[in-house]
Amino acid sequence: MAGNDDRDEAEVARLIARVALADRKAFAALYQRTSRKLFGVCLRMLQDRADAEEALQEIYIKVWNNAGAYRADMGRPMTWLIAIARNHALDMLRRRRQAAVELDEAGEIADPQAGPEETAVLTSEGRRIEDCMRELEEDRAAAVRSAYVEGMSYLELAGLYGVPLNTMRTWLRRSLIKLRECMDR
Amino acid sequence: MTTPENKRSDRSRDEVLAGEYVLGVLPLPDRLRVEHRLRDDKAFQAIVARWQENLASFNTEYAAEAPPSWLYGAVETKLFNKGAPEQPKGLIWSSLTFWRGLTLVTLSAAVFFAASAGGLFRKPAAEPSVVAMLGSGTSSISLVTLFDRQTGRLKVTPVAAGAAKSQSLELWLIEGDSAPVPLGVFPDQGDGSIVIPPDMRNRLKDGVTLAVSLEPFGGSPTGKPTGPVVASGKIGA
Repeated sequence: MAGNDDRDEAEVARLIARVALADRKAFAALYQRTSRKLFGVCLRMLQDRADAEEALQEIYIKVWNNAGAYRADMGRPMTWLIAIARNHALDMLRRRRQAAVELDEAGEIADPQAGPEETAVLTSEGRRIEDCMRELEEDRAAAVRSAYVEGMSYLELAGLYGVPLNTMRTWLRRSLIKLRECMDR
Repeated sequence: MTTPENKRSDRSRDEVLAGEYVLGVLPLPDRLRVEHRLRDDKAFQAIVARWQENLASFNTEYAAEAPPSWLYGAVETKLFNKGAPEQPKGLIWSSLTFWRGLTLVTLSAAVFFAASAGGLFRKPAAEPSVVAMLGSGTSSISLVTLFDRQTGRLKVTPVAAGAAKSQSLELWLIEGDSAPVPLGVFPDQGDGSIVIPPDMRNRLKDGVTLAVSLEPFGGSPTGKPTGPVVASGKIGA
């Protein structure tokens, strides 16, 4: 199905280019095509429907205002859109959780949600990082994945895996270095 | 002293920092610092983009779900309903954005439009002492305001919003069903007034329509409006 994905990506890229020219019809079409995925990102990260709805509106306002900044050499268009969504959700989470940490310095840890492990159709690049992930110890690979997918902070991850904050920081930094080395091989 | 050793360790520190940023584990102040750096550090942008692309395979874990049907309408309202009206109606500058901006400056000073029909208002004082640029971020118009402390007069000039010298606002005269006739381009600098060409002055009378459109910098290349009309209205209406 890679051909279909490529055509989809090309269409999304074309729509973003039209949106950069303030084309409202293209904006509607882009929303139609991508909002389900971006809403999924918001729901998973924010774990709150009202927050996700609020976030999705702000995300598409950012898409409208920043469409001109997208260039093909910045990666695939869907990756770019999801990065906008994740960054917005992360900002909301960090603001929210920063307040929570101030209230409760003992660090009450959110109950981790077991993510559905979907079998995914991966691109060749994606498969490479999955190969590299397998070279990490199991719990560290899981921590990397939870950090990305759920938007968990170092503190939350430390609580989840029952290790001190600094240990978690070391885990993830070493994992990132290993991943980078593996992919550069 | 930049040695190859230093370079290598800077590079690997940046790799880790970019990876932490894309993973999303950084606390808010660190995130904001990274975002600040991303604005003009091209090399660092590339490192972040690479992590983004590499880790994008995790994106398959996000299950798509339809947002509620009202949501797109809410986005459109936030983005577009602040703008200019679609149809010429009422007074010139009837744009909501324009008046919203204007209320910020009408506190006590008398407000004069520099762009008024020729000679309607007195010549502005020579040295305006305060200049401010008012805008909403989403509107196509910004207002340049000049305050002259000596006379207490505040002058407001609309200019195209956005990057300097990328777009201009052009004023048009429309008589009945005739094609719009260009009256002038608003200057993008503070001291803005349009001098109406002498042969056009007696055509500015009750019942004719004035309109302002957003044009390429310097004005319409064709002599006809090419961009969206951001404000319009009839004289004397």
